[in-house]
Amino acid sequence: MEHFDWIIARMLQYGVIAGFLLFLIGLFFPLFAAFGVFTLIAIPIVRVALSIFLFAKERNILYICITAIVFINLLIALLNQGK
Amino acid sequence: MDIYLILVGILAGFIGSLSGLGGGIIVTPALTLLFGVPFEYAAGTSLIATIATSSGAAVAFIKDKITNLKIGMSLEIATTVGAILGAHIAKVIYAENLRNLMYIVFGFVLILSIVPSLFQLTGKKERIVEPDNTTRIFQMEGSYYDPAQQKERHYAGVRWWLGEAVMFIAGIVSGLLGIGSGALKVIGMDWVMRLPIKVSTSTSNFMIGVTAAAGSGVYLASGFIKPSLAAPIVLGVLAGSYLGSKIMAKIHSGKLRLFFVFIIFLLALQMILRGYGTF
Repeated sequence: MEHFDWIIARMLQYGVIAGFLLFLIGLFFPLFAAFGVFTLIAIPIVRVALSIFLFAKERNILYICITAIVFINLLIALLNQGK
Repeated sequence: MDIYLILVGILAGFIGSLSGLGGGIIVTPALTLLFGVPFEYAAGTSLIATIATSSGAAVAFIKDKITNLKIGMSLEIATTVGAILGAHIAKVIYAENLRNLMYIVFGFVLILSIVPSLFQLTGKKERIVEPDNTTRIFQMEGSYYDPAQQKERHYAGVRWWLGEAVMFIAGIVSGLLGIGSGALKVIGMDWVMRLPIKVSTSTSNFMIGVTAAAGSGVYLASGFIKPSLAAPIVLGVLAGSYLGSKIMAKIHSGKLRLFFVFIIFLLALQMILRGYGTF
């Protein structure tokens, strides 16, 4: 549990820093601004995905399912591009 | 142009963190009122700023071990669905050119969002909560260490179904307006599920990011997120919130927060007036 918390905290930190840097470069090269947007949107999604593993380690069936549902909702929201 | 956006971003992040409302919500009034940016693009930018600030703040909450991942995740089922729905409703409103409606709703929601910040200024009372069936089913018991009282505090969440319903509404508001709805979530968890305020606040922080990501998906597909707008704004907001949090750590003043809450109130009024066409 401790170890996972650490992984998630690191992921959050690096994700925000990456987004920040991409946006900084994006001020001069617009393509990177788009990458920055994708990176930031990805952060909570990755966090939810990691949480599935966290609950799997605890063998918490109920919350493995609940987290999977949330993850699927996020995918549904993301994958409807091109409307 | 970018430099102005960055500066406004810094201001937005600063006011947001000192008033307790976070990063995204000030961005929309700032962009629409100051720069005349169409509401949908302002809202899209606000969503990205919200993800950035909430993810940045989340690290501190994880360290303190107060976030209740189970409660947050189970409530997110409703919030994500609500956010997707709200975002689609927003699309229709923009297509039908009913943007004035957005301004008015935004203004009222902004005023509502001030409420939790005001309550955090008043006393912290301990409450006795009787667990109910949902507490057991959804594993909503937990504890956290309160350094102020130097002891482990136990708590139990109740009324999961009602909480879920409130989160669905919070999600719709989030997707509709392009905000994190943190305040509504805190209100829901505090009043309905009777969780301690610290647990509500930190769990809400976790949920905000997920909800904003869900909304962002639809906004991205609809073309409401402009990277050229997001980049300078989010850079500024991150810097501004960082500054704000450092100042908050040094100056423990209720008056300071009250002052910034008042500023938010004025912004909310301006949004409402703009919606009615008088501004």
